[in-house]
Amino acid sequence: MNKIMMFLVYVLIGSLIFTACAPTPTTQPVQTESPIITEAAVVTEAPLVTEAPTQKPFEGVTINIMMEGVPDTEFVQKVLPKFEESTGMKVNIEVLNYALMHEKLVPQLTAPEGAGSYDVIVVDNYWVGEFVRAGWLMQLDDKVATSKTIKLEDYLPSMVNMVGKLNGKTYMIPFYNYAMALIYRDDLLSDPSLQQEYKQKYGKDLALPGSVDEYVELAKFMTRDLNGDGQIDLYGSSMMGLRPDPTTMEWLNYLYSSGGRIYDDQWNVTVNNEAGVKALTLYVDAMKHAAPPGAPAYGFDEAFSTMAQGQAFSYITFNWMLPQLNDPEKSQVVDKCKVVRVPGGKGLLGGWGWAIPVSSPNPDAAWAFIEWVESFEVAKERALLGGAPARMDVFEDADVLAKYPHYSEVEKIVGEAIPFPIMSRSPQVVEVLGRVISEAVAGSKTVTDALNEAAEELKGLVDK
Amino acid sequence: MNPSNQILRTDRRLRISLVIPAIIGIWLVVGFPLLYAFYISLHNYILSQGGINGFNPSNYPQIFKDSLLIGATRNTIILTMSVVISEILIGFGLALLLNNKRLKGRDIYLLILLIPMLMPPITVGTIWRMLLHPELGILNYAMGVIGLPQPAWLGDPRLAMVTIIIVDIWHETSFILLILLAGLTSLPDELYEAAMIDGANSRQQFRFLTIPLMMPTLLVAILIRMIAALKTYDLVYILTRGGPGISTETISYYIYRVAFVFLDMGKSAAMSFLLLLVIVGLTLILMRVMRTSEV
Repeated sequence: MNKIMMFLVYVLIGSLIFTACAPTPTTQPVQTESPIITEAAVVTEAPLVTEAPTQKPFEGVTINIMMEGVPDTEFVQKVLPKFEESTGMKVNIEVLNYALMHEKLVPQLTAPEGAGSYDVIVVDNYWVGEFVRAGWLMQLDDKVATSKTIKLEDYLPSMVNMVGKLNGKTYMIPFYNYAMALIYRDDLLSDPSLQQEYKQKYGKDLALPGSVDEYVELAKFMTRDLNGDGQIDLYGSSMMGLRPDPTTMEWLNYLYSSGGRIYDDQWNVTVNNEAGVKALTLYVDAMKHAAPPGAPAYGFDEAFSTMAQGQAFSYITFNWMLPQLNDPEKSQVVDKCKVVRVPGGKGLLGGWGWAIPVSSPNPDAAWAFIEWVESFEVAKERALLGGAPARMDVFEDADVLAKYPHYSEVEKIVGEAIPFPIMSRSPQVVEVLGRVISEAVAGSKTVTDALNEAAEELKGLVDK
Repeated sequence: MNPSNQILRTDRRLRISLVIPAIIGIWLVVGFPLLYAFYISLHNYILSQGGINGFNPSNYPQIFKDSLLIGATRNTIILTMSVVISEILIGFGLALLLNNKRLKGRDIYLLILLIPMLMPPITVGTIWRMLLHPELGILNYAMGVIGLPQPAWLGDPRLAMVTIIIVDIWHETSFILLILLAGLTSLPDELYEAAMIDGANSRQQFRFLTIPLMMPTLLVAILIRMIAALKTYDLVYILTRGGPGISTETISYYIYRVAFVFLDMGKSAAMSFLLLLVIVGLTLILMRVMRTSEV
């Protein structure tokens, strides 16, 4: 008997130690669900109360959001205090590096209904198929139908089809686009001596490339030694070859604009067809002869910094990187760059959508936040700060266009770009493509071998 | 009842009761996850397809057909051998230098040499990624100034693994240095005095005293470093993501990809278990060698 008691005491002590060591989030739901709110609501309705009723419907409520560390997140953070003040809600935005988001989200999303730690999440278009198929996202159709601020018809159809609806049902509200585009140095393109040299060499005028072939040719031409010290100091294209997503995303612009696709409409793998081989051959060619020598290991930051230091003529990147290149604190090429559609016209469309996970502890507060952040006024305010719109009425707003005239071009870029195939295993597809592209660049596999190997693996990743 | 027996009994009871919490703790935090991982490794478990479904022992035989894992294994062996040998040689050399008691500013040198060890790998990786930037990094700038070639440290598939090895040596040598220096300072002075009286020169002292006496410490250092190097993941993740191509993909990084990108917990648990067996095997061999060398 004594022994059993002793044992029980140990178990008790042990469990106390473990719960004490457990991370704090377990206590948060208690705070957010605090019953005081409902009591307060009852009190304000009571006619006997003479004090001015508080108009803060979410006083004391805290919601947690996971977001990526990108400019559009900063703009949300900038406009957030107004919302917190008017509603009384406390909005915690946890900002993470993209690479860490997916692996941190998945365990949270598999939590039972209401037991996760995030009330609102932002969903990358690569995750849409996976999240919806796994049943992790709340359906929003009823909420949208009665919403005063959000109508999906106000958004660019390309965005709604990617990060809004899937199979006719609404799971997300589009947040911002990251359609890829070509950013190039206009001062170099209009340089008379370069124009003359180009005409002598190719027998045609120096102009923006109309196809991927022309782009690679131009990028090779621009790769040169500008200051005459015998070392190349200008590269035609600041490419990014880091596995898996930087290189995959960059190459898909080559693929789409060469007329290729990863899968056709019936989900047959087409990545290794003629267009695919051509696109990867051109990509490897550009990487070897028009990109900085370190480019096979460049991610988004390195590609940007090379461009911002004036060491590259162009780079394929998100359309909203242009304001960053015009920021004197970050860039030495202020006002020298322009943004246009990717050579060949079909860029890679990317975008994020707001969603409420099924595991959200506070779905009502979550929806109130989304309704506010995606209302026309707030979306416009974010766009004026430099955000990348998804709403057509924001793109076409006079104030927005006055500040960012290039948004009329960007609206076309977003409208015409092609998204990554929506499927539950898109992160895996990115991983496979990233690996084989990198192998082709490294020369450990030929272009055709690399693509055939990818095709074999991609077959098994289609949703059945 | 005999009173002395009574004391012995309460004594034993106290001893057991003091140890039990630790044992329960170890079972909870080590034993249970280990057994659970083994259980997973024998089942189909893909995170995005719901829970564990179906017994599937073929996770293990499948591993040996995986050509990517074979490449990763080769890379891991190259990495482990290179870093362990270089770090032991450099670390031992530095420890011998610092063991000189007449060395001025010895503590300051030690402090400086220990700084890398105090940094988390993510910081080390990020700092080196900036230092190694081929166009904008300070390393290539400095090499250019003195007329050396400016290689693409991480972008060149032939160089990327060498670069990771260099960064790892920079990061981990201080750990070896610390262990070996502690070993050296604890060596008995009397033996060296006796050897001097017998007319042994410093080379002979090193060969016949320092090396044999330090053998156990050296083996411990090799063992700890080797186990850690076999699991290298963080530097690869930050510096190259396994690229260019698959030139720097290590076993742990590959396991990470299978587990957290392909969400295949069954296969990744099976691979982790095999890696664990390899490490346990190597540890046993080294411990045996250690025991015989002590005799």
